[in-house]
Order: sequence, then C-alpha cells, then structure tokens
Amino acid sequence: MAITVGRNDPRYNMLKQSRNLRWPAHETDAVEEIELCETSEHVAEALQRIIRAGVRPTIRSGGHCYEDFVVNNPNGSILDLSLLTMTSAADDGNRYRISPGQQLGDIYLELYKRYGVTIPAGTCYSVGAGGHISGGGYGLLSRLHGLTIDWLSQVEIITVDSKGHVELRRIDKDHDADLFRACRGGGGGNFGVITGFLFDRLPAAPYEVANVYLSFDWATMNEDTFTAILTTFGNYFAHRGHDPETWGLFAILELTHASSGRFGISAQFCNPNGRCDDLKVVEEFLNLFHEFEPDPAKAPVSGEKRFSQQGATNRERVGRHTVDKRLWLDATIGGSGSGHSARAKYKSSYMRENFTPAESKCIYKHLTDTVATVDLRSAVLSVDSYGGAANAKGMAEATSSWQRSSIMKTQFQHYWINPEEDAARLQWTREFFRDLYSQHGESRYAGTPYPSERYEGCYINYPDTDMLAYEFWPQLYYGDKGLYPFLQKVKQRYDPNNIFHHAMSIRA
Amino acid sequence: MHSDHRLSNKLSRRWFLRSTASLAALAQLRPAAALIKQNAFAYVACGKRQEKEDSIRVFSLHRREWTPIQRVPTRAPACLILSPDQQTLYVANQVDTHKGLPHGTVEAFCIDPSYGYLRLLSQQALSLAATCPRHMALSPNGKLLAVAADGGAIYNLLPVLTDGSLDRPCSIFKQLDGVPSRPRAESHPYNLLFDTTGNHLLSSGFGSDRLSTFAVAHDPMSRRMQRRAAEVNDPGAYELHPDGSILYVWHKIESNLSCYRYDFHAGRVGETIQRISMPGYGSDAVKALAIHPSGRMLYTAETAAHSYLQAWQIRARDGLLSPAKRIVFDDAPGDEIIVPSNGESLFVLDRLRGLIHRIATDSATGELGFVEDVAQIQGAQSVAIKTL
Repeated sequence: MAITVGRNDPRYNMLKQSRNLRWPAHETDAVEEIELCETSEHVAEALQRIIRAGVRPTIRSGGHCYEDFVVNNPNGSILDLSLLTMTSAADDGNRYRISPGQQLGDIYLELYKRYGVTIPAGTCYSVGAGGHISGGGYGLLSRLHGLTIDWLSQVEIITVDSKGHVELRRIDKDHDADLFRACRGGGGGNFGVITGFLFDRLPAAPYEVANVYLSFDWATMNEDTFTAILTTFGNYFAHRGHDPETWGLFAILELTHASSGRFGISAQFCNPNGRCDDLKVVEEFLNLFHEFEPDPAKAPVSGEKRFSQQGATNRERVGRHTVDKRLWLDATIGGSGSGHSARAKYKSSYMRENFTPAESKCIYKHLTDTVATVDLRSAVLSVDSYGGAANAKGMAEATSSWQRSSIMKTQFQHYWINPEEDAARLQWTREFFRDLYSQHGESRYAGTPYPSERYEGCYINYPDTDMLAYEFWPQLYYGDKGLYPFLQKVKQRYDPNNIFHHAMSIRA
Repeated sequence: MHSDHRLSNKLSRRWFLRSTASLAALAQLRPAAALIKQNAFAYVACGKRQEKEDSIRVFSLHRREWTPIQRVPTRAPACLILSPDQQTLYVANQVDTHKGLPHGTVEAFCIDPSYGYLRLLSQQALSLAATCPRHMALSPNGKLLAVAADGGAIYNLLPVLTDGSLDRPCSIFKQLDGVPSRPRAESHPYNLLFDTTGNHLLSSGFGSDRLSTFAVAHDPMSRRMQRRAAEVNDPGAYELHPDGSILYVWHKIESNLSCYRYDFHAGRVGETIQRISMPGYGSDAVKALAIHPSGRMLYTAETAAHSYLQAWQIRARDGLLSPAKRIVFDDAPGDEIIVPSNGESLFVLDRLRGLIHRIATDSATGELGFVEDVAQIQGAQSVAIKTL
C-alpha cells in the first residue's frame, strides 16, 4: 500500500508544495492527499482508488516542475513517486532500469558504479527522472550523446482504460509504439504514470572532463562589446559546433543582470573518447573570447552555476588559458545540488541561428534596465549550447522531441523569496521575453519563438503558462509539422477520459 | 409576442400571434420602456457556442407582452438559474477554454429588484478540464451552486458568497461509471438536482446509465463528494417532489415514467411505487420534467407522434401519478419547462425554433389553462423567470 499523507499529517505542509514556492498559489489549490508509492503495484492500487473516488491524480517524481501542474490540484491527490527508486534491471535482457523517483545525481552514481555508463541528462542533482526523461532530458553530455530519450528502449507505464481501469503496460517500438514515442519527449502528466525507464544500452561515462569559466565585468561592458560576445558565442555553435570533434564541448552563456556585477561562460569538455588528452577544441573556443578580456578567476556571482569550480584535481594550462581537469563523476556530482526552494519563473526557446544584433541589443537593454523595487541579481538568461548529437537525424520522428536543428537553447530563470515581489518580477521577465521574441518573424507570432528559420519553439520541460495566451501554444512546444495531432491521437487512445491533465497537457 | 424574425406560417398555426409590425422596434432597448417597474422579468440565454451574438436577454413581462430591456453579452450561455430569493441569476458558459486554460466558467449577475437589469457580480472558472458546463443546480438555501461540466464529466461545487457572487470550486468530482455496453466510461451530465435537504446532489448523464447521488452536506469547502450512493438505471429527466420524498424519473430505454421513494436523510433512492409504460416513445421522447410549486401536478414535455405538454396529477397521500390535461403542440417539442415560483404559469422552451410558450396554471392546483406563444428568440437555450 502507498503511504497516504493527509491534511492532518505533519508531513502534509511540506509535501503539498512545489520546489517553486509560487505553487500552490492559493491554499484552496492544494491537494487533499499525497500518495507516496514505492512500487508499481502501489501506484496501480493508489491510482485505481483515486479514480474510483472521482478525484484527479497528478504525478510527481522530483518535484521540480516549473509550473503548477502537480500541486495545483484542489481536492485531488498527488501520486508521489519519489520513493519509487528501484534500479534492478529487467530479467529479460541486458537492460538498465531507471525509476521515476530516482534523482539525477543518484542515477549518475548508480550507473557509474555498477556499469560505468551514464545518461546525457541534466545538471541538477535532485531533479527526478520521471519528469525529466518524459520531456526529453538533456544536459552537459547531450552534444556528445544526444538526449536521454534517444537511448530509451522501453517504458513501463500505468494507463487508465476507457472504463476507468488501470492497466500496466510495457511499451517499446514494437508494443504500443505510438505511446512509446509519445513518452519520449511528449512531457509528463499526459498519458499515464511511468514507473520505469529501460535502456538496452547507454553511453560510457567519460573518464574525465575539463571545466572552464570566463567572467566578464558588467562595469566595463557596453552594448557593442556585449553584442560581440553573444555573436561570438553563437557563431561558434552555428558553424564550428557542427564538427563532431567539438561535440564534447558544452558551453553555457550565463547572462546575469548587470546589477550582479559580472556575467560569464561556463564550459565542459571531453574528447569523444571520454578523455581530455587533446584540448585544442577548448583552446580554440576560449581564444575566441580573448579580445573581450575575460577574467577566468572570477566565479559567477548569481544564477544557477552549472559547473563546480571547487576541489579541482588538476589545473592545466592550455595555451594562455587554465582549465580544471576533473574525473567525470566528481565533476558531475560535486556541487550539483539544486539549492533551496524559492519562488521562480522560467521561460525557454530553441534557437536555430545565431543572435542577430537586434536580439543582442534587446538582451543588453533588459539586463541593464532596473526595476525600482526589485533586486534583479537573481535573474539569469542561460544560453546553452545545443546541437551535435542532440540533432541526430531521424530522432525527431522516433521521439516527441522535435527540436533537432537548433544550435542554442535559452532558459530564462528568475528567483526570489518575497511573494510581494511576484508581480514586478513576473512583469520584468514577461516583458524581456516578449520584447526579445518580437524582433523577428511574422507579426502574428510576435512575442514567441514560434517555429521558423530562426526558432524551434520552447522546451516542454521548461513550461511557461504565459504561452497559453496564444492559441498556437501547442505549436510552440510541439512544432507545426504534425506532432501535436499525433500526440492528441495518442491521448485519445490511451487516456480517453483525460484522467491525466494539467494546464499544458495534451488536449484531445 | 416578441420575435427576432418574422414568424413562419407554421408558427401561426393556432396560437395567438401578435403583430409583427412591432417586432423590429422591440429588438432594441427603449429606455423609456425599460424604466417602467414590472413585477416579472424573463432572462433568456441566447446564442450558440462561442459566437459573438451570445448574450443574456432581459425582458420585462406584462401580461403577454415581453419587452426587451437589456442585452448582456456573455459567452455561450447554456443554462440559467435563479437564486431562491430571485436576486441573483447564475449562468453556465458552455465554453471549453477560458484565458487559455481548459475549463468552462459560470457567472453570477445581480438583478435590479425594481427594473430587472443584470449587473455582473463575478465570473468564476471551473476546475481544470471541467469544460462546457451545461447544467446547474442551487442548494435550497442558495449557498452552494453545483455545476455539471459536459466535457470531462466533472462536477464542481461552488460556494455562493453573501452578495450572491461565486467563490472558487470547493469540491470536484469526475464521474467514470464503467458501463460495459458503452465504449467510454466518461458520462456527459445532463441533469442536476439537490434534494430538499440540500445534503445530497442527484445527477445523471449520457454515458452513465445510473442516477448518482452525492453527499455534499458536511463541510463542502474541504470535503469531496461521495461516490454513487444509489442507482436508478437508465435515467433521463427526473424531478423530486417538493416534499422531498418522491422521485419521478423518465427511463429512456424502457420508455416509462417511474416514481420512487426517496430517503432524503440518507440520500438513497428506494423502491418503485409506480411505473407508467409509454410504448412507442423513443429514448428522447421526454426531454423535461417539472413539478408545480403546489406539489400537486407533474409536467412532462413529450415528443412521440406529436409534441405534448402532459400534466400528471400527483395524488397527495402517496405521490402516485394519474394523467390530467394534455396540450398538443403541432411540431414544437419542449426542451425545457420553467415553472416560476408564483405557480401562476409555466413556460416551455423549444430550443430549435427559439419558441417560448406560456401556459397559464392554477396557482393552487397546477392545472393547465390557456396557451400562448409569448416570444420567439433565435438561439434561446435556457430561460429563467423572476416573479417576485
């Protein structure tokens, strides 16, 4: 039996909330109960009970959902899978199993220590596998090894049939292939409750990686220099980044607000063989920014710092630069925590082309603007390098992660504590995004990175309910080439009663 | 008679027909007329789903005359219901999206007690995935509004605040019945009713072959509705006697009108006390039932070979039915029967043609009197009559 936590349980107040402390927005939005499940059987039993009670289930693995899709469930129940962490492989093959409740950091440890393999997933230790992999799952190794779902062989999922009965399915490319594809990037909370991800093979974990950080001083920055830095960064991934020898390089342009003092570039690299014997790719990349006089010694002062600079095991000179070479597991696990819960707002986009001067100037404008009552040091526009193996041919059709021609992926992140600052901070973030994505493209899509020659929409794992204001929001997240209608058919077939739904779930 | 169109010859068959010359003038609000105090007002939900013409139209009633006094734009109004004190009008908006999210809405309008005008009090979104609400019921004390969302087969309970406005849904229930003979378990609610205690809610719908009752009495702000507590197979329209102890149900497949005992303490449907077979009637032959406030007459709107309004006398001692007067409509089936609280008349709405018939009734016995067409309003979906 699942562990049921009701309103009178001392654990309730903790478990009812999201890591994004904006949710639940109202006390009346909060769930009635949380069902903590340790096995698939627990999930099936609890889910059947929930359905019979006429209650809405929502699903949580790690609790990192950016929007209110899980905890805004008045009178409802959360199926909390954080205790569903079984890792034993299936009996019928040489498979690796990841359970939805496992945190990414634990998965890296487990896979590394048991098998010496890994998944090309995210950097935050405590992110749960369930939501992360359902939406695609990418991270520092994605240019080298693609998305996590690209490696996925089989999924165990509990669906609810037309009569309201729960049903455990094992799906793959030969069994319920449509649902299998939908589970490879379609996003969480849509079709059923995933209780296991199985992989026939996984890439070997790198032996070591080289980390670098470049820091730029906002005090000496002007619009032209700022634009030149962005252009240089984007230009690398628009051209040089297509060469497979660079795919081991994953870089993040961390554009913090000017009030934070500095912004920078983080990068991690390994050669395709998982070693750092040849660092000329790194040197070449770093040389591009030399003219902007970065200071590698200055650590980032805010934002989500992706790469730990502490405890470096081996500092090495590469031309005129210094890199920190570290054993991969240490570099991946060390300092990769997700920090405390806070109030937050996120937005995202995929970029198929480099920044235009107009876009760079727009970013500069908003990052140097001030809001009278708000400290914007915790506002970051992260520009992740993309492409490489993440753009592998055929994967758009095999999976539901359709964005396979982008060179960069942006994530707007904004963190704060005080609820009274919600309105001002949300307004700043919204205006920044709307302004940036009004620079180009058709006017009817202004304010959004609608799929075009320049953009590939938004990332479903960085959901943004502001996009619901646009009738074409499904095309922002699922493209305009037929994926969304496909997912709607899958929804109709496997969740005919729309048991699983949230604000941005597939609408049949 | 008020009309949006020149009446077709069919409509002039046998009913009183007012001059169409005045109709164009009536189509627009006339402030002078609007300022005349009236005792009765009609509220008509007009429009098809999510069209620009959707509105609530307000008429002052004087004898047979329906004078338009206000047109309030709204989205896809599908159902109207008056508060017990008749000071507030509730509207179910049959929409599937509100502010980008998949849910329907309900609205509360304050009614000007003298002039009948509507003023929006609140618009409240239903719970997520509760789309296209089509039916509502108010608890007898007027403190709880139940809404049935056709999309999602979800019921919402919304607290009514002291000014008549609506709070956020406090209880949500998704109904899956698992009817073996039907391809989908999701029902499509089409009827809702509180019992006389207000402690239970009765519901039925397509896709569900049983009547469900839900306990809603205790602390509805936090307590969810309970699962089906009683079953009546294959229910169509149904109505409770004002004393709360007899339930009248039209059975769609069996084509019969049945009377059941109803235990309002437990919220349970009891034994059958009468079954009136109506052979030759189709499953949708009876679309509406209503009971006169006196509790002495039941009305059914029927469509078989002809369209009828059938009155059934209710025996005082045991609630059994016996047929009374029948009124034949040539080709105007009734989709909704509205019985104002003063008991002096009832109204039958034919949605297809937008026709509204008024039938005089004896306020003490509910016996049917003369009939007249009082309005033809294009797109009319639901009617509420304020008589206080």
